[in-house]
Amino acid sequence: MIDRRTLAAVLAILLSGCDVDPAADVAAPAAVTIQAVPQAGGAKPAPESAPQAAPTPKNRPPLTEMAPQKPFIDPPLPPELLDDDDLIPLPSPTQPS
Amino acid sequence: MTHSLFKALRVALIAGLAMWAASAVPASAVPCASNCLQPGDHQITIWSSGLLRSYLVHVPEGYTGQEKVPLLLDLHGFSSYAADERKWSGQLRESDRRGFIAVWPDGVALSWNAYGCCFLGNALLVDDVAFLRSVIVDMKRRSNIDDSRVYVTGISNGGGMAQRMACEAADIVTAVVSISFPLNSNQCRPARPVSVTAIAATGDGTINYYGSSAPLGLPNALLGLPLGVQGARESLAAWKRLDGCSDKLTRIQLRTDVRLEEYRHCREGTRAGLVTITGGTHVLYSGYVGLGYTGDYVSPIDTATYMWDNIFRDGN
Repeated sequence: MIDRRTLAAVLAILLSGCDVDPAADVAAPAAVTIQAVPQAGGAKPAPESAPQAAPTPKNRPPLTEMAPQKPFIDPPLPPELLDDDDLIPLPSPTQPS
Repeated sequence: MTHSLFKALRVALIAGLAMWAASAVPASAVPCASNCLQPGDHQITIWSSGLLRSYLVHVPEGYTGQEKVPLLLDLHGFSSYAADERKWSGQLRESDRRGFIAVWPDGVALSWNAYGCCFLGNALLVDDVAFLRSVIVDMKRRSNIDDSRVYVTGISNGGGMAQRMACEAADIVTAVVSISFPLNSNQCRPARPVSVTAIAATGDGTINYYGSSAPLGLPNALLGLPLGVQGARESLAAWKRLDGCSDKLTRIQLRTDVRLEEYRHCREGTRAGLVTITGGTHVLYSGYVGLGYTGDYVSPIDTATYMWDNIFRDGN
């Protein structure tokens, strides 16, 4: 016999199609104009920046700089949170715990 | 017009689901109306934002209503529910031991609308802050609650919701402990400083301790699923800023696999802390049996005991 809570959860998943983003109500998309701008004579496009070297155990950034990507960017951790002091160091994010 | 129809439809559907789920819990005696809750277990239903919501209450044996007692809201995780949280979190035991009133609210469709998580509550923008505010107000009316000791905790999605309460209900919440979920927002604007502690495990395979990125170019949140989350240490740094803490960080190695980092000099006597368990898993309740858990895990610290020994022990 299916528990009512389980059934409610399943129904909720099935009903997810009813979610309508309010942003979808915008009547018309904003117009975008692209205008060509003449460049200075003889100017060449800037060279692309050199690709970053693949991380190795030696050049890998500190663990604390491996910031997660989210809808926002955290400022750098304060210095005291980068210092373990007498604490036993934490495992690396890539190490099995 | 179409949007309005869909909105009305989904409100009606959610209300129906909430009422149906609530009806699955055995009913108890109708609780009193004003400062007369008796020791024992109760189920209370209230209307919030057009939805019929429910919560479980445990009033400890020694409660008389004559003296003010702390109130704790204990929020279940995604895919869980109030009775499950009551069974596993340890707060039921602590309620009788410490004399506080414990409350286990139910989310809509087994979820809370916390920052970036979880389906379906997050996707449908359920106003869970309003609901939990109503629960606190209702409990203050029905029992003798110490205004300076209103606490919120929770695990996973419930931890995220506890963090959200710190941001959006700091005027009535004293301190928050989040288990296995970071703040995960840069829009937090608490009305006043509020103590927030997170308990997180480096071995958490669900909400990564170090934060995570959305895979394959997907958005960070999709239909209430947090595909990218803030790291636990970044979350602590955020609360340091929000509570105006000094740079002095207290570090304590509680066990070989448990460490505490805590800012103890913050505005209005608040604290911001992070308890890190090396290894561990997502659900930090010992013996927990649930989705993907067979009851084998034994946490190096009892989270409920830790909270009441260290964080909820006084009015901060």
